[in-house]
Amino acid sequence: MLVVFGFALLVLAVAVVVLFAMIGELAARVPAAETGAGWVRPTDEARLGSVPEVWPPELAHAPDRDTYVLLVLSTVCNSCKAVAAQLVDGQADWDGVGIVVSTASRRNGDDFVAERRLGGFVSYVDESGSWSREQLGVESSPTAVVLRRGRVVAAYAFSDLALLRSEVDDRSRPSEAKEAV
Amino acid sequence: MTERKDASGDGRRKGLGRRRFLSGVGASGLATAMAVFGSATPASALVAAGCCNLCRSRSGTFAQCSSGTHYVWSCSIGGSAFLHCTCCEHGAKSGCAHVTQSWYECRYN
Repeated sequence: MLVVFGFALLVLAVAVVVLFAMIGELAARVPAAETGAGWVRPTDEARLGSVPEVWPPELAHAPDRDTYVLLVLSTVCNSCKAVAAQLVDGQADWDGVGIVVSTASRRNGDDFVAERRLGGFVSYVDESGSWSREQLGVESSPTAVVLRRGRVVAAYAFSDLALLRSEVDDRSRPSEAKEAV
Repeated sequence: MTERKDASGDGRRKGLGRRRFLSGVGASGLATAMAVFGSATPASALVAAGCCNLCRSRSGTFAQCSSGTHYVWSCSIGGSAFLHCTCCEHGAKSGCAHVTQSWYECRYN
């Protein structure tokens, strides 16, 4: 009788553990709720028209691409978690994108990349945010910097990656391109 | 008399086996729970304030926070209004353990 009771207790304990694990996994996957619809708005924070003088090795290929988008996220930015989730869950096929993680320390940045499952994307951990600040003129997140052959041609504050991608694609079409040189 | 002694010894052995089995069950349950819940990430301890994600609750002033070793960054979040926050962590060099002060300020644009 005791053995049956013990076995039932074990099954119950395992069920509770699995239930909590499922709830945790769901909570990690669902982006933080925001009021209102997604938005993308141009920002003049970035140095439009400039070309960064220094490129980190992780982003050395960016100037060779016709159009390349840098998503500047930060470890202290709560809204960046939702952006990272959108990137992983809905825009994993976007190969013209690189992630810059502005952070206080290398460790925090590496943790952010690992916890947000961004390992499959090109990413650069920007300690103190100095590269973003000095080379792009960006010190706010989430910000998307659009580069054309390495030149900063546009920058957006945004909450919705699908909208942002559509905006960038529209801009990349030769007839509609409006470069800020 | 001898038979009674043997029966009593068998019972004791059975009881011991049952106890060992149940303690095994308990230990397995505990080990499973520790494996699942013991791996909580440090991010779970962060304080969300506006669009900032800070190691501590807000204290002191911006001048205090942005002196010495510090990290200052801004963030924005949309919705019915556009909220822009400045987030600061003092002493932030390797994880929250070294952060001694956090500060933030938000405004609607």
